[in-house]
Amino acid sequence: MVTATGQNKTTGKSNASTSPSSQLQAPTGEPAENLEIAPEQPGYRPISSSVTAESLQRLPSQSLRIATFKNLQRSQGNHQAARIARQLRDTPPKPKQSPAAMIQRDLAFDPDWESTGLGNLFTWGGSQASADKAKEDYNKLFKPLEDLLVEMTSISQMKKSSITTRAKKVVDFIKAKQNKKTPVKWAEREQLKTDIELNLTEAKLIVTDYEKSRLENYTSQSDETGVALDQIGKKQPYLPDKIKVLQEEAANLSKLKQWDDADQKMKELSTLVKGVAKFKITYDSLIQKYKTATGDKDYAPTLIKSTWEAAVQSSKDGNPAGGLRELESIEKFITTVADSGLIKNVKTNYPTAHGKKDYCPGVLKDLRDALTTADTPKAWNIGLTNLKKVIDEVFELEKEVTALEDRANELSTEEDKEAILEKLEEFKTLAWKEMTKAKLVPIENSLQTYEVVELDITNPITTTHYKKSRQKITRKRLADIGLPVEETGKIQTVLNNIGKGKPDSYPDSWKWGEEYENRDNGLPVLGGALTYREYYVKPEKSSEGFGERRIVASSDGKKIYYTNNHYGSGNAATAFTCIKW
Amino acid sequence: MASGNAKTQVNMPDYSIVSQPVTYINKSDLARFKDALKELDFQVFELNGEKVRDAESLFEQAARDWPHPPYLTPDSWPALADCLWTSLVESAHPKVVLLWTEAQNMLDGGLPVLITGIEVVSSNLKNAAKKSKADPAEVYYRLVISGSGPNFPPFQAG
Repeated sequence: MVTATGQNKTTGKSNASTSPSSQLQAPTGEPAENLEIAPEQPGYRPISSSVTAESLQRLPSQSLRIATFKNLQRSQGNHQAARIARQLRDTPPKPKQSPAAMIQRDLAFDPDWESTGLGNLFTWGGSQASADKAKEDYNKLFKPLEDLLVEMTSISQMKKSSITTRAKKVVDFIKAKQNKKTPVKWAEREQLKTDIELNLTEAKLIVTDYEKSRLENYTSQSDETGVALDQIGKKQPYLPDKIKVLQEEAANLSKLKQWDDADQKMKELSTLVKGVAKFKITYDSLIQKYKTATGDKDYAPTLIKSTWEAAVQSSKDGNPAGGLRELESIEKFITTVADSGLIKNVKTNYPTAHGKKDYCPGVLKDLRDALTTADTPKAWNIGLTNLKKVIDEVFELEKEVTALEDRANELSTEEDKEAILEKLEEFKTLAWKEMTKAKLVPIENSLQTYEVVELDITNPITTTHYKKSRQKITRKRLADIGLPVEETGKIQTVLNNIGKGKPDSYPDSWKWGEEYENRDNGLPVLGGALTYREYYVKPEKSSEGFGERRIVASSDGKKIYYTNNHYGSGNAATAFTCIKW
Repeated sequence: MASGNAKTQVNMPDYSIVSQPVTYINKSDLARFKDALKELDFQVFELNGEKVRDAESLFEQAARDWPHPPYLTPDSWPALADCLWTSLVESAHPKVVLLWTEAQNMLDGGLPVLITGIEVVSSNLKNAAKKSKADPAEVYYRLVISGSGPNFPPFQAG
């Protein structure tokens, strides 16, 4: 069996007799087992690229020479190995030194050993100059390598690399020497120095490349994040404060070359920024609708407002995904409210209905408040419909009451006027459920009674060129005029056919929708594009020809007048009766 | 011998003297103008404007001189318009001239009534023409205002 030292344990003799390396002899001739450096020592293996015949000869043991030579063979090939072997053959071995001298030299150490802690690892003798050289070597070579090793082992990717392993072996070897205060054999020193130099150079290059790569990677990530942040916008209310913190932490770690930690921070930052970017998409798509939906604080559903604010706060607190979920949970609700289009109307109509009219029901406020507490689009829609319905009813009642008030104010008898207005005021104080149109009917009937009394009150003509004191208008429902059934029926026939067409039984030459020019201003002057239209009403007897009955209606159909005396001919008391107003 | 290619000449009536809905004619030419209307087969209703100064006097005179059903009185603007309408649309005569003479009397304080009267009558003639029982192509409902003085041009026939 051949040991790592090159000796056959069985025979105790060297096995290097048949190969070129078998001719190698330890310059000192000392036995291999006395050597400090042996291949089986973990960690250390000389680098053969720097081997020369002279350096081989300086090696302290035969086994080490053999191992180094084999390394040389592997790394530089047989040709080079053969050249070295020839040199060895031709180079006479150096004269032996006595063991005592060797020990003396090897044990020589730096007098400052204790104070500097540098040890005498590289001392080349006991002189001060050698000690200085050792310090210089230590500071220039070993210390940088030791420091670099710390850095390399801190890098996960480099921890198990061959260069780290080799450098560690060198450092461990030297440290072991230091701990034991054992000097390195002089013959090993040159090789050790060479190995340290080579390891240091290679490690520096690798570490530099590595750091450059990590820095580039860090910068790239940082740039990407910066672009994403620019796209999001720096003043968004939902921008997490954590972003700035992470940016600073990552920057600091990168300065300390703690790349893994810096990367971790950048990864965290990138994830956060991506989350915010995603949040932004939904936020941007909803913000206008949100503003519309909450345009009036009185109608903004509390759920929308609170959830929206919570979503923004969640993102700001560094949880944009949570914020996004909040937004998505109310997205449909926001859309429902914003797109309803009714809120704008209600915004105007509600205060009008609620604020102006005494008879506006208290239920209206409850309905409005129900909108703010609605927690689903469906509930809000129902609430809005209910509110709108009541508002419409309020407006309708308001219209009816106002019309009655206007008519009452036209009454010339103060007592009558006050009586009607008083009844209307009473109506306004009714409870909402009792406040129905049906309750207005008796009031209107009373009003009509008073209006009938005013039949003979003239509507004076102001233009001097027409007959005076003849054009009079009164206002009565058709049924209240007191006309014969026959006449009422014929009027009703015309009324039923206005806007439809002349009844077949009417002569073609009869006026039906011809313009009535109101030359006397006998009827109220119409505004805008409205005109009066004239319709003949059949007389009682056909022998009367066209007769004297006429209906004149405004072209919008809202006002209809009736005359049965040919526009007040013959000084009739009344020219027209307004039968629809 | 008569030529087989000889053309038959037809004299078409010339209505140019009443080409407009309202025609103004000087009193001095009125007789000649009325003759021309007769030649054209016009039925002329002549309102004597000698005493007409305002609306009321106009309505009174219209009730005497202008057509209206026996049961209707043209005593207001709408009544006047309606009377003219009912008379004309029921009439089988397609050529009618409503003549208002001595209209110069209206220029002394009665101009608004003159203008309104012209408007009311002319617009009714136009509307009635659309409803006339006569052949629409042969219907000529016209208003002629006659008076003395420079406001009324001489008659220039043909």
